Amino acid sequence: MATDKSLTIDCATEGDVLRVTPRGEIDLSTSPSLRRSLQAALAEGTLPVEIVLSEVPYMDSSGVATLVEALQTCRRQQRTLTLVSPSHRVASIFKISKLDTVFTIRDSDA
Amino acid sequence: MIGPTAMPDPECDHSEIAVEIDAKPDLLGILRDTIEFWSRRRSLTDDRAHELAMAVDEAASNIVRHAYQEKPGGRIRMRCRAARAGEGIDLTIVLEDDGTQVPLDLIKSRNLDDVRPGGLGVHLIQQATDEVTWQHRPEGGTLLTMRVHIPARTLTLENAADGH
Repeated sequence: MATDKSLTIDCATEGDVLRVTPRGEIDLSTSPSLRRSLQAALAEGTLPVEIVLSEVPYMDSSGVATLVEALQTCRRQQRTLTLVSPSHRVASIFKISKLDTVFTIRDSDA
Repeated sequence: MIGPTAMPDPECDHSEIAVEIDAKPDLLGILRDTIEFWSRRRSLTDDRAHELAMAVDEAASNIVRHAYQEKPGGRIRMRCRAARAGEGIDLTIVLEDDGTQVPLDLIKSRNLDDVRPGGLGVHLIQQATDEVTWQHRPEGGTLLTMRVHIPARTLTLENAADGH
């Protein structure tokens, strides 16, 4: 588990999915920590990736940039990346940035 | 009675607030939390208040990264005021720094169809505001002014009556 002053990041293989769960605000001070965790988690393996955003109350453009970079890495590796359960507020930044159709976004595990 | 005839002085210059922080990434949350709290108190809807806080965060991030190039010692000054504008209220937020002046023609939104990391900040600022301008200060640094208009129909009775 990577930690930052206000962001924790869990990475775990659950069944046939690599699940990354950041908890806390993702902004200019914490997105480097998320970037490092994603780079390490995506360094090897082929499992589909899910990034669970249900416990991220805020994300800025540096967080979005970090996820775009992870999406590009996954595409090169020919594996899928899904964003799971973003809050209304976090979902809005993807919509404003016209990235809501670039990412696969799922409401929940249901 | 609350109505136009009962309205006190519509000027609300006394409602200005000012916050100054070191230009450090882990302090930017202070600016966005301040803006969200302040703008909601002035009848901005929750969604617009969040977008405005995000715009301030993006602008302050750009100051940290580009004006001060993430070097220590820089300061960011933010001033916010509410003033009656027509039947509604204008919220004006000014961000000021003493850092390197980025050429103004380089401050622009990029083509969003080009999916790549970075370059979204100016787009988010423009989406959240009705008007935004960047100016180089003669004494150095940059002045960013953002304006958001709240139409009369979204004002609460309290704010419609006293304008702040």
